[in-house]
Amino acid sequence: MAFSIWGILAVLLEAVRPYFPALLVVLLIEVALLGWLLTKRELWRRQAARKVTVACGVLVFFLALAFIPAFTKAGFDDLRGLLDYGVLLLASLGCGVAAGILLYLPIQAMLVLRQA
Amino acid sequence: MHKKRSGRLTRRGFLRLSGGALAVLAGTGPFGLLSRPGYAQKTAARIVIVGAGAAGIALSARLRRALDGARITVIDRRETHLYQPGLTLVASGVWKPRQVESRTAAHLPRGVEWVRDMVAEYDPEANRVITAGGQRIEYDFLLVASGLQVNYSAIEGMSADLIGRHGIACVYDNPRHAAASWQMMSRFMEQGGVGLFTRPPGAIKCAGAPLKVAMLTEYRLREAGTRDRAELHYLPAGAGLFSQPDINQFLKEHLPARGFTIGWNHPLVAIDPGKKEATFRTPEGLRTMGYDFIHVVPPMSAPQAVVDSPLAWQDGSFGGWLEVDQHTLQHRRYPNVFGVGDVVGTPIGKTAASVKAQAPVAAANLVDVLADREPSRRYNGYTSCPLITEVGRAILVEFDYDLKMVPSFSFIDPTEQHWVPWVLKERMLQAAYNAMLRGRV
Repeated sequence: MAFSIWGILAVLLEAVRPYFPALLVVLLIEVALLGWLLTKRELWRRQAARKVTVACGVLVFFLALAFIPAFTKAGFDDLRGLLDYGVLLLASLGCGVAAGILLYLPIQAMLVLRQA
Repeated sequence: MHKKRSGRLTRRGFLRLSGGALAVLAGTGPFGLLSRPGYAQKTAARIVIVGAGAAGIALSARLRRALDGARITVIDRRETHLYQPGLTLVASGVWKPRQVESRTAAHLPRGVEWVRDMVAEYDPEANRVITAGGQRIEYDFLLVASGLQVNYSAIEGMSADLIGRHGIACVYDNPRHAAASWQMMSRFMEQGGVGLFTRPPGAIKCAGAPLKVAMLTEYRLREAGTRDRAELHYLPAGAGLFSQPDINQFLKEHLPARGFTIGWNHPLVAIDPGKKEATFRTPEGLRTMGYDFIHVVPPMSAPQAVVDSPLAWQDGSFGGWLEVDQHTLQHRRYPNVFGVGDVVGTPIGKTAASVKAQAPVAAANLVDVLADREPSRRYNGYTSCPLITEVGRAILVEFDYDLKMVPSFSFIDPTEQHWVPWVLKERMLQAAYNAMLRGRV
């Protein structure tokens, strides 16, 4: 079966469609935080925020690594070979990176609040 | 004061570029959701689609976009749409029944007329269908996507209301049956005994389902710690387990390795629920076996209205199914009639994956015929089955009319059990199915 980039995007769109309300809430929070943080640019602690964000991303990566099989109702004994472990690793990496991106602004906001 | 221009993207430039990109996306690919594309063919044709299952909805979405001005009517009385590939997951306790149910209205595209009725009679000579409610609906083009019927009464003593009682399970038809099957399987897991798994002769919907139910039952017994209390028999009607030779060979080794006794040439002909006995017509004569749990898979056929109509194959191995050219999906005698999905009389292809491959072909070929062109697209028989071997493991089987493996992902060995095909089945296929309903894949 041939795949097109549009086909893959259409499937991903359908995969996240049930989570649209939750995603919208997260997006609104992020935008609100960004708006607030832009008024406090002088208080930003970029390096500290980056460090905490990376630490959170790494933590989420390991949590994802441990729990993704159970999330799919499977166990580690169901994973066989490079294919399964490779996909698990990539999925966990994706979770870690996504968590890092989503957490950067809340972490920055917390650091700003601590300073204020 | 003017800022110095640099090679870097300014905010205004970025917004302009983003707007341009969005405009392009809005008009093409899966994002072309909001308007009919400029290449839509103008027509006043009356197009009738029989059935609002996977095939009917996917066709209506595609034709709605491809045609400008066509009057598209979908006929189906079912208010609830079923995601049938999920029924094995319901029957094995992995999913809840509500996960396979949605409203038909939520899937039908805007601008399509929905007649809540069933076709009782096809009259292709007069280009019309007659519904059970007595409506006569005329068409210029007819798309038959009515699915199939499960013939419980073809097995003496069997009826649909026995599912969920007397140890009788049947994954097919609806989530109520699948949930009742899970109840029977759960009881069998606790008590053990003799488990029989049947497979009827002839074409059936999702031919992997009887195998999946058998293997998932064995898995659940092991999980419950009662495997040693159960005796399992897999009883196909013929001398094979699966049409694709490599997978057939895999299963011939895999099922016995898991303790199944295979009884070849065992079509189920009668069942006595009171005595918990099943009778099979074997080459040696009738054989009656007692059971504690039985997965009954009744023979299947095209809906009676198709069987009784001139649209059906009149003889041959596809007798009773819709007579279409297996590549163009155009009716062989009525060129303004096309067929997609379970109803068509083709060598293989009664899966949702087949519908995914068939719907674009039938829709494009109908547009060709409407424009006085020869049908240009061809269906190669593609079908696919994530064959679940256990909860957490599956093999991804994809093949075509030549029974040749046509893997979408060359790095997945179709004869090796993996977690990834399971994830595809359990987490991603419903998204792909929904994208198919929208005519996007």
